[in-house]
Amino acid sequence: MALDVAIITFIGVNAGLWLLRRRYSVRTVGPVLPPELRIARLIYAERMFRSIGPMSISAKVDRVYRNAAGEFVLLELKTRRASRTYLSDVIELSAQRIAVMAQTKEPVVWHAYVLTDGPEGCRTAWHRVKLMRLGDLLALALRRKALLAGEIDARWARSPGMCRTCGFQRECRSS
Amino acid sequence: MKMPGNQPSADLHVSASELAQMGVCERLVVFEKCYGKRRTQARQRAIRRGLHAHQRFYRGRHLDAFAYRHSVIATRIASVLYGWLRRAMRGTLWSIRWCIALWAKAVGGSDGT
Repeated sequence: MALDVAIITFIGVNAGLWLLRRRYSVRTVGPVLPPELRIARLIYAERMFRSIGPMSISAKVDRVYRNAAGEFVLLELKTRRASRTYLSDVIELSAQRIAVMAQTKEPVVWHAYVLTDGPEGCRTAWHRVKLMRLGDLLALALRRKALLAGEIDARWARSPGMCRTCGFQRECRSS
Repeated sequence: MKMPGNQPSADLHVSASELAQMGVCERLVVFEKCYGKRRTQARQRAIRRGLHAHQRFYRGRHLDAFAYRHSVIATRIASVLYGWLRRAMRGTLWSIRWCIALWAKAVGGSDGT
């Protein structure tokens, strides 16, 4: 009888520990943070920033850390099946960098991290990306403005895979 | 009208996500301006999954360090309990011991590192 109680207690405790660890270890993506950020201090989470200058950029930043050198490091979470980064990630993080620097007056490093979180069962992974310069972002913003004004022709998607989930496939083919 | 390469006007305001969309598909940028946002079911599911992940990510912002310590403590507790049970059973019921060993291994293997 005592043995049965011991076994049931043991299994119950282990199940509880396993559930707790699953909740706090996997879901909080703590252990998969890049080494630079594991010892860094979290400064901002889910915060809006805005730059005012030749180009006004507003950006919602997932996380901003302060690294050992005292500089800000950006981290962006992306949910996707493929554990990789795209040009859009680099553009978004570069814009975030400008907005954070302008508003906080703090230095932000030239690299950032993208945390890719796959569907259930897939591992979370981090990727380090090099960010774009302000001049390149400015050119991109001007191109967008010209595009919306109908002054230049729009380029096709960089990856044909993007078209599969696009809601404008019919219009895109016919135009 | 301004063209790329010209000096920017003061009212050039853009969000980071709008700029990022330029890196996905320029035609999509134009279509969304003409017709508004149009999302397929797959896209809506992906957006919902993304929002859910971001909420979890935000809730877990203070737990990173705690989670790392917790996983170590949980493994220690499990090993102590298993040692106690092994002594109590004295070599009998080997099949249950084998199951528990497998369970303990699974608990140890679920570490996110």
